[in-house]
Amino acid sequence: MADDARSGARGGHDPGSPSPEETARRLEAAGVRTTPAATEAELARLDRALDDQVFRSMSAISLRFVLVVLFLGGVVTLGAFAFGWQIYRGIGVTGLNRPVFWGFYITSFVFWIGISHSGTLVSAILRVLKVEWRRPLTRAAEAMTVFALMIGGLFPIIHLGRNWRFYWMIPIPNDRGLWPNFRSALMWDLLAILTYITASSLFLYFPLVPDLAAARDRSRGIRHKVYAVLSLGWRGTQQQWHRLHLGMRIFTVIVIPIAVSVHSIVSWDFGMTLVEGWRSTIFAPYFVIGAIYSGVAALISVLIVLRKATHLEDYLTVRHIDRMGKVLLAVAVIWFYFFWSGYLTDWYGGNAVARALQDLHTVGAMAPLFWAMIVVNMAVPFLFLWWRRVRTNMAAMLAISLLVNVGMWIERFLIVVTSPMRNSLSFDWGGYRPGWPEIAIVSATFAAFALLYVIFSKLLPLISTWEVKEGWRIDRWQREGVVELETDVPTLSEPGGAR
Amino acid sequence: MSDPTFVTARVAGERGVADALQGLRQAGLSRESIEILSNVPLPEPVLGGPMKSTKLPVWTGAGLLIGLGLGVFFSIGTLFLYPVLVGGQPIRFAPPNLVIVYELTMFGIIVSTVSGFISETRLRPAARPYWRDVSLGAVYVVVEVPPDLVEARVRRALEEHGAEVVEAEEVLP
Repeated sequence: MADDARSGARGGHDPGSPSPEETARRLEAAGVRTTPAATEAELARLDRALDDQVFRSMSAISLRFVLVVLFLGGVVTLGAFAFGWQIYRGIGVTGLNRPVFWGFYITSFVFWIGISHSGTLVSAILRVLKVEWRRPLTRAAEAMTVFALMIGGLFPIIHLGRNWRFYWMIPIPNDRGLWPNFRSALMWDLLAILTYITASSLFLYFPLVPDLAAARDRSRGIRHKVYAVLSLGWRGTQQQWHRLHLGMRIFTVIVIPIAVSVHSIVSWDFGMTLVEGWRSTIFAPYFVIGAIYSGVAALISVLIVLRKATHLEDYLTVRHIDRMGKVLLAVAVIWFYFFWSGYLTDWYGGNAVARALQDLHTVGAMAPLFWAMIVVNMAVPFLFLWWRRVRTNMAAMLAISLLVNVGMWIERFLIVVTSPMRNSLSFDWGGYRPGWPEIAIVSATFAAFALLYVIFSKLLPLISTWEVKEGWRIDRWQREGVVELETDVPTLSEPGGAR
Repeated sequence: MSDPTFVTARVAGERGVADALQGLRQAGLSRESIEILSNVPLPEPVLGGPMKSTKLPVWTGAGLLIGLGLGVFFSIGTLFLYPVLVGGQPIRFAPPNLVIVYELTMFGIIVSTVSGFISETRLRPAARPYWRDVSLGAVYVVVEVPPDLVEARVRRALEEHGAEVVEAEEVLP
């Protein structure tokens, strides 16, 4: 049918309009397939190939997998030992001091909450917009949010001098003569993170149920029993599918404002104080966009590693990375806009403490970190991500996305740690040098993040197989008129399309 | 109450579903007594109309109200239950309360939506037929035969419309 359309267009082609080949190329680039719809047999073959690839990668345990688990587990164990040492010796083993009361731990807390931002948010926004290419990558994105939140949520507890009194934050009946201070942004943090981790975990679990049922049907023994419980007796009835779709629609709409609120609240930990460098009315949107920036970069890194490690290149394609690269570039521009707005306003205000802080960043002891951040967060994306050749080069994209995250960690460090170094009492200015337990614990959290992904890849399907299969069918159903077209771009076979 | 009687059949893809549904409708069966099992959701036109509505939005609405109530209790109620006196006067405030109310309302919505989903998916009155190859792509029709209809008539309706009547491989609770 599409060929007919093309040949028909050749006959009466208007010299002033694009050629049919050009139109076909544009439609392909816009995600509209101009090839004939897949037949039922072809779809069945594609389904089998997808299932084989995804479910086989769950069961195969290679030597490389074991070595990776041992290495990552070793780093995590070292971090656990450091934490034990900190409990035994007290918080004095860290580099925290007066006036720098917040160090590596709170920096990493903000960083990991930022990383958590994009997974669920990217997935939810792509779902709301019904972007078809989202289907293979939503699972990896949603998992990223859950893992990052699990890690980020630990840091405030690790940071506490007396970690075992953490439960004092929980509003339980007032038998200790204490009640949480709901005016405190730290209390909002607790609630926001609790809400977000619940929402993100369930947002991951919801569309996982049909895949858990598929895993149940392919497994035996203890695995079968666990999958059977988790899949909630899923049989694939149309009523169940209907309920799942409805539930996902509700969730998708709800999870977006939750995600935005979480990083806004994290920013208010700083913005609600009177500390120069923290007190800012644009901190909430600046933190949100920074979180999306680091999250998108982390998602690109995760996708590139996963597609290679689990041989899912046919589903997590170069095209996905290319598109995520464009998203990263767009977010980089917005992030820079907010950064520059804050920087210029502080500079123009001429406040002595603010200027001292800017001097510390640009020409003082923190200058190497500041300029490194500028280079990797601004110069690198701006210089390289415009080019398709770069965005489709996996090694280059992995390097850029990792660099952006290094830059974002530095940005968090500069905000959290260096702002208290300069205040209105110049005799109270200070510095910060992290203790070895801080370095070990922060390193361990990066290893834990990777370890969680590695374990996840062996326990649960990394790709939402039913969503990918549904996507393949939607294309055909649209062509056959079974369901309405969800795109405004005309297909070649439509009147008024390429003809 | 006696266990329901099922007639189950394997059909060939979406076309097979549409044919089987047409045959069952002609035999006098209502849509509520028929289940279609597949590893991807099928569009409503294939299924001959919209699906039965679910109570999920009711669960969501209830969660919203409960979350809102909890938020108001924790943020505003506790100000009155446990007043912090400063200079003999209790501290009362409004803007920070909105943050707490907002987060707990959202929390209520998500927990209740999932509770509704689990409740409607998991808590069914009886075990239902199932085949493991559903997750490999096979499509099955499950008919709960009403008491006033003869089982053989349902079988005939299915077979005449291209479906292969088969026994259930297992039942899922």
